[in-house]
Order: sequence, then structure tokens, then C-alpha cells
Amino acid sequence: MKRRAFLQMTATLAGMLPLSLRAREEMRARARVVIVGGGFAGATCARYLRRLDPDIHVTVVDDQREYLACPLSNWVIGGVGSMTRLRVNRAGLTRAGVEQIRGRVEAVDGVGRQVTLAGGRRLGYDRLVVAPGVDFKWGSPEGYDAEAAKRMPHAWRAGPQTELLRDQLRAMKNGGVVAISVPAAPFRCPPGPYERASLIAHYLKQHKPRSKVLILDANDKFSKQPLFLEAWEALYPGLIERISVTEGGAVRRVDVKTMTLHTELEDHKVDVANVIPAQTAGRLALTSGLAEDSGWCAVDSDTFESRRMPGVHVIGDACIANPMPKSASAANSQAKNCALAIAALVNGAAPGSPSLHNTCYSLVAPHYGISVNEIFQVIDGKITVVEGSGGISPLSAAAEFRAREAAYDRSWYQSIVADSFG
Amino acid sequence: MPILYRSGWLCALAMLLPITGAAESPPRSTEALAFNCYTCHAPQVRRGKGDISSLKGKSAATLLQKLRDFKNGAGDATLMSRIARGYSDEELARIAEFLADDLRAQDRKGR
Repeated sequence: MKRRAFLQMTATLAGMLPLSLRAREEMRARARVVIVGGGFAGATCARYLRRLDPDIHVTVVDDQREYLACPLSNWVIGGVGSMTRLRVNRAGLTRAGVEQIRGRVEAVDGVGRQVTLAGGRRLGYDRLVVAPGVDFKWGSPEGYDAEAAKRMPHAWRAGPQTELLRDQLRAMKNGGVVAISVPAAPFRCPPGPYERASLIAHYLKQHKPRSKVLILDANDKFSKQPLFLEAWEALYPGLIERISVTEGGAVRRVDVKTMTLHTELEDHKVDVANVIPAQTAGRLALTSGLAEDSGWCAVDSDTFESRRMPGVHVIGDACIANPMPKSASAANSQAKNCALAIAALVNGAAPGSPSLHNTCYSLVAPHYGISVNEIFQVIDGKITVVEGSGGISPLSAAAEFRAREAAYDRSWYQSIVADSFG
Repeated sequence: MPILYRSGWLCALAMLLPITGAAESPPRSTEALAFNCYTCHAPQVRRGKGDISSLKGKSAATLLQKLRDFKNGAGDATLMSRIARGYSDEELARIAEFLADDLRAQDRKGR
């Protein structure tokens, strides 16, 4: 309201002032939105804010020059895709009029409405969007830290870790055991570990057929479970074994020297160990007090505004948006709804009711794709799946159906990158 | 505030309506509904055979017919039938209208 009154005053005065001064007044009245994190969530929010209101000054702060996207990283590990496809440049944000700053935000002052970057630079904001993705909970499982990840890659952030896991698989002997340790939910990309198991099995079947994938799982159920089980039975019989949490599958401790994963019941000495550690919201969410004890950020479902810090919005993997999964697709949808809310709020209007969406494809083999989808609405402040919508691909579908979804997976990736990064 | 709850009598009326998924919640904004389409159907992506289809150059009537067919299980969708069931007929009409207009406008801008 204050802003609107100010704008009206500016407009009245503008007629009486010389042009240069008028331009300066208009500059001052522009709302300033700072976005921390230029991944799928942050980039989408930036682009859609500029689209919705070109008067909003949008700044994205990220410490990496280019973004390495996770969605196709399992393809690289399974030998069906290259690293170059994961590289996303942010030139499209600049084309959309988004200011980009390479740096690391160290502190958030929610009262003074400014952030401080490493090196001391400060940026004021009217609205702040925090989209830091996830960070790893080192020590969960016990003995697993950044040093251990050099021997037992997590490969849960695309980049050198992706290549390390791929190269370890290539170097492994025929007859080796590849273990994937899955943390208890919630974690980034719920179907990810199982897509990974599938594509590793695809690689082993061709090159090292006497080998095995062992999934040590801290969960009972998993995403697209019936579809994965059906596909494994058909494509990789005897190649993938899974031990669920009730069967004693949760990895409690790792021993890097002996390449052993310890569960409550057994010690698994393996040849390649892919340990996906437990996760929390990105570091800044924890240090700035945006996160709950759970390590994730509670937000208003209509606007994604933090429940702890007014004027600050949290989107993407870092926020609590159950039943939405932590996925690129969910982040993209949350970002658009957050942009709509912010564009309304800085113009003194009430935000509309959101419409949220998630579509995740998984590749089980190069021409075998499966999908899950949900449509959400917000009822009484709760994100709710629209009854009758969404679900997984049909079971026992024809090979042609699976091939179409595999092609759509590639097409989906190309599209979501373009929609998010321009 | 959502329009539905602006006046008391409408609110009371809403409470009398049966709970039928999308119909009973506060109306979702057209932009919020339609922006989600661009995740998979981003207009700036060149699309070939076997890709997720382009929506460019399609009229609102064509888009709406497609969406209704998907919702009713006609046509040969892999995923769109699951998506279309998440929206009321009125929402599908708003989505079709918005997309046709928006894609035409974007084309004019030469994006």
C-alpha cells in the first residue's frame, strides 16, 4: 500500500519535474527482488518475475558460473548420456533483464531487508527468494563425509561426483557388486536412486553381466515402485537386489578403507559404493534461521513466504511443500507461483490461489521410460493433490508406450531447461 | 482474497456444494494454471517427431478440444490424461484461451 501511494505521488510529481529527475524517481520506485540460488527454482522465479512485471528489478546471486543440472546425471552414470548435456548457462537470464551476481550470500537480515555477500557487499531487497537446494548431512551414515565421498561417491550433485561414479563402474571387474545406499525420505529426487539402479544395471548387463546392483534402502516404499519392479523383472532379472528398511537395509555406518557398508544386520563389502547421504535445505537456510529443526523450511503454501521470516520466500528442494516431491519440476512450478505472489505483493495486490504441478520421468533403459505426475491445489493453506488427477504410467504397457515416454523424457529435459533458464 | 469468499452468502452456498475435487477449492488464477504447461511445452524449444508436442499456432478451440479429449480418456495420451483430470472444464477453457493468446503474443515479439 505504501508503495502504491508512493507511485501515485511520483506520477503526480513527474509532470512537474525535469526528465532526468523523473527517471531517477522511477528507478527508486522499482521493487527490488533478490534471489539466492540460480538452479531450477531460482532461475524460473527470476524469468517469470521479469515476464510478469518488467518494472521489478531482479538480481540472482549464485557462486557458480554455470549450472550443472541433476536430471540427466543418471544417464551419464549409466553410459547413455554425456556430461555436456548437464551444463546449463544462464545467459537466458541476462537476456530476460535479470542482473546476475557471482557470489556467496553469507547472511540474511530479515528486519533490515538486506543480504550480505562474502567479501562484505550488501544488497537491499523488498522481497528475498531463497532457493539454495540441498546440502548433505555429513556423518549420516556414520563415517561418511566429504573425504569419504572421494572413494564412495554420492553423485547426488551433478559434476565431478557424477564422473567419479561412472569411472568407478567402468573400472570395476566383471562380477563386482555395486551398492546404492538410499537415505530415509525426504531427499532430493525420490525416484532418482531407482532410476540410477536401472541404468547401472543396463550398463552392467552389456559390459559386466556377472555383476550385481545392491540397493540398501532406509525406506520401505519408493517412487514408481510397481513400475520399476516390473521393468527390473523384464529387463534385468537377477541383476538388482533391494533390501528395504524393515529387512534391515538401512546403512548405519560406512568404512571407506575396507569398502564396507554396515547395516543393522549385515556388513556388505562391495566393489563400488554409491552412498547418498541424508540431506537438509542448503546451508544458507540453516545459518539464516529459515529452517526448522527438521532441516527444511516451512512456508506459506499460497505464497511460499517463510513462516519464520516475513518478506523472505523459500522455493525448491529447501522448502517443505508436502506432498510435492523435491524435484526440478516441482521447483519450477513453485517458482512460477512464487513469482505470481511476489508480483502481486510488490504492487499492493492480493496473491491469487496457486496451481502446482509435478512431472518426473525416469529412464529404466534407453528406450524404456516411465513417469509420475501430480496436480495440486491449495485448500485451507495445505497443498493437496487434486482428486482423480496424476498417478504413474500404466503397468503392463506396450513397448511402444515405454519408448514414447523415453523420448518424452529427453524432450522434457530440453523444455524444462529452456523454461527455467531461457 | 479469493473471490469465492468475498461475500458471506457465496461462502454459505459453497459449503452446501458437494466436495468434488478442483471445483470446491478457491479459484486458481489463470496464469498459475497455464504457466505450468510451459514446463514441458516451452515455446522457445524446437520440436521434432517423437518430442512433446508444440502448442504454437493452435487456436483456443483446438487446444480446448484436445484437453477435453485427454480428460475424457479419448486420444492416445501417455501423460496428458493424468494431467487434464486435475482441472475443471472451466479451468481447461481458461487455460486454452490463455495459451492461444499468449503464444500468439510471444510469436509477434519474435521469441
